[in-house]
Amino acid sequence: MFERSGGELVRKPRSSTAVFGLLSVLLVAYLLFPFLAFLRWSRQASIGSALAEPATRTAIENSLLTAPVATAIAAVFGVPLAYVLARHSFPGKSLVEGLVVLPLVLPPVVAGAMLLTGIGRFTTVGVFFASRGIPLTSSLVGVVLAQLFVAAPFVVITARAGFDAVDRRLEQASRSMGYGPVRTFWNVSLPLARKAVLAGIVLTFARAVGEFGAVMMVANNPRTMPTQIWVEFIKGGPTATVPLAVALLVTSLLVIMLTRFVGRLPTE
Amino acid sequence: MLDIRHLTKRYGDERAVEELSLSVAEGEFLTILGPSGSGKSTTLLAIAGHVAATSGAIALDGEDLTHTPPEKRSLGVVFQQDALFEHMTARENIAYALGPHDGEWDDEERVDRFLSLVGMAGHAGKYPDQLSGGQRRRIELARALVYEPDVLLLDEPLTGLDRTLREEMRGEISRIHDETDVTTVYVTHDQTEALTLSDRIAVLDGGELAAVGTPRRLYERPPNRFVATFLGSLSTFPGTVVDTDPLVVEWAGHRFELDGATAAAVGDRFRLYCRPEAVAVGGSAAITVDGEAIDLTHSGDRSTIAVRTADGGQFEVPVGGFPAVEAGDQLTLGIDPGGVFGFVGERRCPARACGAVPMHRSEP
Repeated sequence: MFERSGGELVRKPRSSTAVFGLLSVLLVAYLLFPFLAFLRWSRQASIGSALAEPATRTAIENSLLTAPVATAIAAVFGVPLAYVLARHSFPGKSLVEGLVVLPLVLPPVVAGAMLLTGIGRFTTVGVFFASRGIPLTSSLVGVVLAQLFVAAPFVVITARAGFDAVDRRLEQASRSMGYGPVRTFWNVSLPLARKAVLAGIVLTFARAVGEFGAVMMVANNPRTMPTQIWVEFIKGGPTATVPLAVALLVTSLLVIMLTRFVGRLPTE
Repeated sequence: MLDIRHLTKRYGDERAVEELSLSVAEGEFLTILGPSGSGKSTTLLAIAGHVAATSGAIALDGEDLTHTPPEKRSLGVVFQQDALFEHMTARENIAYALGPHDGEWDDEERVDRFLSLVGMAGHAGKYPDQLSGGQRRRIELARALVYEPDVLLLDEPLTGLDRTLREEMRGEISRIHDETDVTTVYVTHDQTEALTLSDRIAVLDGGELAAVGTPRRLYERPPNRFVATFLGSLSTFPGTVVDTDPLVVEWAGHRFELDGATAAAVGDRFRLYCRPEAVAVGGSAAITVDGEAIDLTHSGDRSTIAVRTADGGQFEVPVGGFPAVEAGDQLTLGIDPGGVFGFVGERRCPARACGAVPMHRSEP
């Protein structure tokens, strides 16, 4: 059962592989089952003609516009925040760390409700922006704000773990060679934490494009894919959700694959 | 050239470095030697600017660097563990270091010159994970030297290499220093590295400077017990104080006079010491003593016999090859009286004030 290898006792892989394999298969099967069941429904739906409908197309366009914008904003502000959290200690740091995780804990509807109390149509902030022609609710801006609130934590938490794993010595080496902190970040820290940062961006996008609850509360109109799916469900039951749901899945898969491809590219 | 003045670093209440003052001359190879936790790495990182001093100052060529960020210090640093950029080839790692200096990422000729200096000309295109531990160290050395820094800082650069490689790299570092003549501060806990490489050694103990001097002076005339034991093995034997002004100690029928004031009274025990090279098997030396072999350590070309005398003296006796001696054998040891010394006062006393006192054999 046990073999000596490099001075350490190492278990032969056979039995553990079987256990790990079984556990993996069970979870994959559970994850796959609803997809298969759902695709059974889809045979009865005419996806092509449904996607041609103007309301559906608008929802797809809105999602493809808002989710990338929300993801980009989350990355631009979230990656530097992740770096600061990984590298510096400051008063109130644990408070910030807690705050970053909090949106993940909240039910999305509550997140939406909280946003409404902050930036809703009749709040000071809401009135201020609406009077300048930027309504923060029931608008694409509202959609982005809702997506950003629930999805931003993913890039912060994941990128932070990535920066934590970058050896400080590498940054110190770069500094001693004459690179300032910002150039060291771009040249050393970010490339080395690239995978984690990209993973965070993918998760953020996935959450943003699929977000329903918070978006529903803040901007039921204009529709995104998830909110339009809800409308279709009310009108026609599960079958009616199939075309948009498939569109949503395909979009997300494409983005995830594209990001992974970009992540593999050499940085030069 | 490089001046450290009253450097103190505390982490909370914990003292890492305390009131350390040290100067390094242009072209000098200075080693900071000490056990782990003695503050030697902290000192190096403070020189590099990666650790902010609690108090004290660091100056290079008279210019105060204490609050200068690392990137403006013109220092080359090689870290304790690998700090090569895994996402760059060996050449790119070295070229990267040129970037901020002449803006000459593309100075291929210069990169080639430093690749050759460290004996890595044939490995320019390899990524760090394709290089062995020793090769990675060589690339790191080239990277730290390529922009011709004023001072090269090496933080235990041979840690993690196997014994043969350590010896080989020790020679390489020595050769590279001779060729470049760069002022070097080298941190290590290994006394052999310190003794073989250095122009001078600074010994740290608990964050304080225990001694500074040439390898020979510190080895032969260590100023205090800590330095004496840290820089090599010691034989020790118990003498008895027979006079206090001047201090005279008697052991095995011989009298030794020591300079310096002591609180010892006549009749007190007083330890005497010598280095292994002052002891030999056989009765031809000026002082002879009988003892029992208690242990043997073989290391190929030489062996060490541990011998205990009836009065409690413990001797480390070096012999060549594998001697025909077994534990329990009675041996006669010869001791060179010129190599005997003692410690007067506390072990932390400053080098000049109390120091290792050279011994003079008194008339019996």
